[in-house]
Amino acid sequence: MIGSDVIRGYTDLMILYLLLDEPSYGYEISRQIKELSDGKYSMKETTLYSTFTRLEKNGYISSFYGTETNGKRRTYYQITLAGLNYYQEKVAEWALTQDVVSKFIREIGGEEHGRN
Amino acid sequence: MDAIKLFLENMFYGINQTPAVLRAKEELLAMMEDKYNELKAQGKTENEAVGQVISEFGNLEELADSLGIREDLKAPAATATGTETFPTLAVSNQEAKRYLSEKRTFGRLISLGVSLTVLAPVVIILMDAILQAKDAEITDLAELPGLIIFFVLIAIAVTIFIISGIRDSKNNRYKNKTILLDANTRKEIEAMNERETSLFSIKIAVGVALILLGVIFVIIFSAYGSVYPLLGELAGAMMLIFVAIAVPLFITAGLRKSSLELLLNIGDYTPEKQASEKVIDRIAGPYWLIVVVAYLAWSFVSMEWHRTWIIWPIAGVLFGVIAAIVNAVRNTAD
Repeated sequence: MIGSDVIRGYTDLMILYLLLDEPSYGYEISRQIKELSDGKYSMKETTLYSTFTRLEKNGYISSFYGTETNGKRRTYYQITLAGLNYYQEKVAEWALTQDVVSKFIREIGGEEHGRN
Repeated sequence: MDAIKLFLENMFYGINQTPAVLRAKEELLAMMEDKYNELKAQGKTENEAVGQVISEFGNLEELADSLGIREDLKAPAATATGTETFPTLAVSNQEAKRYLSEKRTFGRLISLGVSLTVLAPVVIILMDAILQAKDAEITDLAELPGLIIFFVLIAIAVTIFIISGIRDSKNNRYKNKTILLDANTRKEIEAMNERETSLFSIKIAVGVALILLGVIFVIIFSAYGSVYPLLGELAGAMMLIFVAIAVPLFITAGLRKSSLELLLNIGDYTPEKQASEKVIDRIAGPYWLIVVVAYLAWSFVSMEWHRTWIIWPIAGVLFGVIAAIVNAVRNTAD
């Protein structure tokens, strides 16, 4: 399971990605995240909701009420133009992050480990 | 389902019911209910479904800032983490394997050196015995070949000690560390340690048996010594040969055990134990130097090589006693 600290910076990206094609609602997004990550990451409800509120406050997503066939009222979220720009920024940031961090990845230890 | 509502009410207990908080509760409840329904549809029982939903809820801390409820949430006291006495060192599977194989080689080389040292006097004893058997006069010149072989063997042994010691010194970086292994490597080494435990006892038992056998030979040979002087002369040589075979068993078994224990930080290689080892390490160097000097001085002054070897077992036992005392003193001091 992935530590929440590591992935925290990219919950925005994950949620925006899932809203790129069509509006969606809380549990559906949570389900898709788990599915897309092959069950390796499951977003806690509180994480999900705090991300929604942050994204909405920044104008990256907007919400509206929709009604399910069973008559249940749901809050749907959709991406905004600002959200799309933000998404692209995050993608570029991730590419850079990945590029930088990967330079510090190798098998643990080695002859010249340095700590002695 | 009521259990989930109750859980959520409890989570938000004592928090100001602002519109933002009410909306959050509503949304969270919707997500939790959706998850609950799907889990039930998958065939989970009521308890399993509720359990999973609650366990995956998360932490209100995350919502503290966006809902403006940070003041309402009491910050949990920071938990103190356990202190480690020694700095940690991450060791990969490869490194662990290399360490073990290098220690094995080291053990074999040291064993060879010790055996050569123990066997060296045998040459002198045998030469003396041959000379006596031939009734030849024991002169310095007659003893010279034996002495030369003796010194060559000692020189080879010392060379082996120095070279293997230098080669082994790089493995000192694993000492006095809290070794971090990944789960699989740890399991693998624990399994090795498990196997070694029984093997260790067998090796030690065989070694002790060999030395006892040597003692029996010494007694028998000495008993016949009055009748056949040659046998009395050879008793010491027999003992040394048995010791030379037994000691490598002790060394290799001990080193294998200690290198496994070091990687696992168990047995004698917990941080506390290693601290007392340091004291013993400091004593060991000068101690054995004195023993070697005493052995050579006595041997050369008396030229009684067949007797002077007795220093080694005595010195070994004495060292064990000293180590035990150091540990006892340290333990009571703690």
